[in-house]
Amino acid sequence: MKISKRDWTHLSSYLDGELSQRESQRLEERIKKDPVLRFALDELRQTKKILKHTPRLKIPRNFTLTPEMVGIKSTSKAVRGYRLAAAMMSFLLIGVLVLDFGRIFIGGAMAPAMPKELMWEVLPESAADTIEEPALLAAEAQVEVDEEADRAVSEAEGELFQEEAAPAVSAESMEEGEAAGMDSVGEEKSAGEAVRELSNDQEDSTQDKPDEEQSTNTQTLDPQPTAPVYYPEEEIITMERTPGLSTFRVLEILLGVGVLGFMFAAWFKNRRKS
Amino acid sequence: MVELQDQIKKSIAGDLDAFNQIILTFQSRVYNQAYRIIGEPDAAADATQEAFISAYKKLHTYRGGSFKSWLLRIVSNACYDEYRRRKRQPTVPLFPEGDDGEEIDSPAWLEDPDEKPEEYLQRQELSQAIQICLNRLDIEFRAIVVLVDIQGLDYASAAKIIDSPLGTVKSRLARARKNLKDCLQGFKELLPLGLRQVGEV
Repeated sequence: MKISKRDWTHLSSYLDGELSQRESQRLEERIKKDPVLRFALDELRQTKKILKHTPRLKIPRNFTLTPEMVGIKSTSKAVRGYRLAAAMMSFLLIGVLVLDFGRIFIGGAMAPAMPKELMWEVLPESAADTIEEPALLAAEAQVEVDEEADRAVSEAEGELFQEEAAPAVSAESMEEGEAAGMDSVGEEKSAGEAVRELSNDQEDSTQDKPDEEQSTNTQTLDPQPTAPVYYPEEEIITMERTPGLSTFRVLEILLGVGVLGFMFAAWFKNRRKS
Repeated sequence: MVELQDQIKKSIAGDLDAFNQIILTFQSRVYNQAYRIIGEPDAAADATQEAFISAYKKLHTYRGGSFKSWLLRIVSNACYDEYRRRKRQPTVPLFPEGDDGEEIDSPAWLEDPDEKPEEYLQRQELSQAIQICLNRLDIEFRAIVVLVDIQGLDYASAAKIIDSPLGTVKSRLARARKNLKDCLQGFKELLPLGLRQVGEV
């Protein structure tokens, strides 16, 4: 009689005590009746016994792990020391830099080092606004004065064109006017020259000695404001720079060199080790 | 047991020396497990080393319970990987060979200076016979029989290690034992006297 796969599984599990009580009882009854099953069970038991006596082999070597095997980079004490020194010096350097820059900004030592144009950028925004305002007003006033002058020139040009329309009359009046005001007997002036002269007079009158007519024109304009000097140069507190290196600078350089030196030493030592 | 738990805690914290103590405790069992599953000493050594490296890296995943079972599971997986890798590559002889290509009868790792020559010979023959029969099984069946019959684990632990249901363990083990029984009958003369009753009614 051939033993089924299921019976083999039951026999195997029975050997290990892995069958339930009911399954075990049923199998025991079958084994008592069936010599083939009993024989198979003995064979399995013997096989199990042989396997249990399998000699244990000696290990060929130890399997202990090294830091490299598990990806841990071992660093020597010297390297760790260098790294610690570099870290500490970095902190010191940061501290000295903070102190140095603090001293510069509080003391205003940056002022003399800057060109005048950049001074505006250093001033607070509100101060810059108040300073810019009068300058703006002055510029606007100048624009208005220029516009007035242009207007006067165009009026004079209009008059000249009227004179050209009646040349005889204008020539006479011109000569009379010139004879009265200037010393230009026998000198002929072209219309263009007359215009130029007129406009020059106009400009002179607005700038130097305004006559009555000009003064009425310019009365409507505001007097040209002068920009107040908020930060006169003599009042700017400046710190005189002493020639050579300050203590802070020397400290910064020393600490910087120290940090780089220790970092290089750690890297070099690590590289030599590997 | 308390000492082992302490070593595990230290190892999780990154103490490699503590983990090496664990390795020294388990390395023989782990190597034998690997050797019986793979059947080649070099491959078994590689798998053992890989298993310990993997165990160290995965130690934080250990959630208590039997550490031996947890470790054997890692070893079994390492063995499967190594077995598959070796299968793709040229085969390595089952037993070590000398320079002339002849099999070495007494590899150094099998020697025991305190053992009598007859005992040594008997042990070696039994070991070889079992290994030859194990090698004739598929690796899944081999792993189960090694875990249960050689390492002495119960079905539940074996099921956990191979990540299979209990029924699979039972059926695979029965089939493996049956095949081994048939195979070992061919080596009856090589077996120690006390174990020669296979096939005799």
